[in-house]
Amino acid sequence: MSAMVATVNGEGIEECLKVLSKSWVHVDPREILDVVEKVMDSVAASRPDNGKDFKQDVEELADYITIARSEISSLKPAEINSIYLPVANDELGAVVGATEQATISIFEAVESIQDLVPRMEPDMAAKVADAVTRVYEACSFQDITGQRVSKVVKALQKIEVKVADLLKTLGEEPGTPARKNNSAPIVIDPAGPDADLLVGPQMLKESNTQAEVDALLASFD
Amino acid sequence: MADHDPNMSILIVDDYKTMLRIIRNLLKQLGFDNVEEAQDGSAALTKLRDKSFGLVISDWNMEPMSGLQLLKEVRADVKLKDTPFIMITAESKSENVIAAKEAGVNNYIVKPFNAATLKGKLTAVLGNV
Repeated sequence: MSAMVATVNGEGIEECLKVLSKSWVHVDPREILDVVEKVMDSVAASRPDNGKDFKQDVEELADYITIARSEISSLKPAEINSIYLPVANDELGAVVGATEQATISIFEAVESIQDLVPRMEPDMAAKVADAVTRVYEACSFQDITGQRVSKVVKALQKIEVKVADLLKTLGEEPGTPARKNNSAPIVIDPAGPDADLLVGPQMLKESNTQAEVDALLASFD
Repeated sequence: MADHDPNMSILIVDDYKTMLRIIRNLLKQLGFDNVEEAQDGSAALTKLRDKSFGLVISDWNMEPMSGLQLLKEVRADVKLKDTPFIMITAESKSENVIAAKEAGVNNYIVKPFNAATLKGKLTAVLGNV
């Protein structure tokens, strides 16, 4: 038995047994060896080649993991967090900012027109007021656009966190975001008891029309 | 249905400044000049506890306090619980409408909306507008 132990792993297992025998004074190290032998026999019996290639299989698995890790690393996932996601985030923020500025400019112009309405002939005043109203209604696009962009930004932030976790698993640095404040990725998840109801603007085919909402409200009466 | 007081204060709540401006201008066209704004539920609740408002028009999706949470706080407050409350939001699924109704909303407008819809809902909640 001692010869087998020496063959399997030099002095490693023998040293372990010595340590175990000191800790587990009531356990006979030969009983532990017996259990290990039975496990090895069981593994060997389950393989048609009697376990001769078990070590080779383990080595191949280790090689596979190493190659996979190398291939993932070659994709430079750190750049996702350090470059691409921050750029996407910033660009989307710029879109919202630009549409907001444009909308405010439109408001200022339309409000100037609205101020002139009291000085107009009634017929003209009515037409101009109606046109002004339609401009206000149309400008609500900025609110919907902003909310859709916010959804995209939140999705990107979640991707950012998952990429960072993947990089940690690979033992790599997540990469310094190319942001002005260099802050860690911020995960914004709606908090509070009704978080699952916060889904934002829906696609047309999935949303209720005003008439459908009215009918639903009326059903409570 | 009783007519509303045109001088009453209305509180509009939305985290998008452009939407606040749209609603304010549409309310102005309907004769409501006494309008105040808040950009999230917490700020709105502070204003509501500070002075009297005849109506709250609120968005839903805001942080740190959503419009639904604001509605629940209003309905739970002895002094505020009868304040008329209209939700105006892009959240259009049935479960949203049901949740708001169960929380005590008086009416519900889906974005994008038009001036006629706003007027109709105000009439339904306040009386002739």
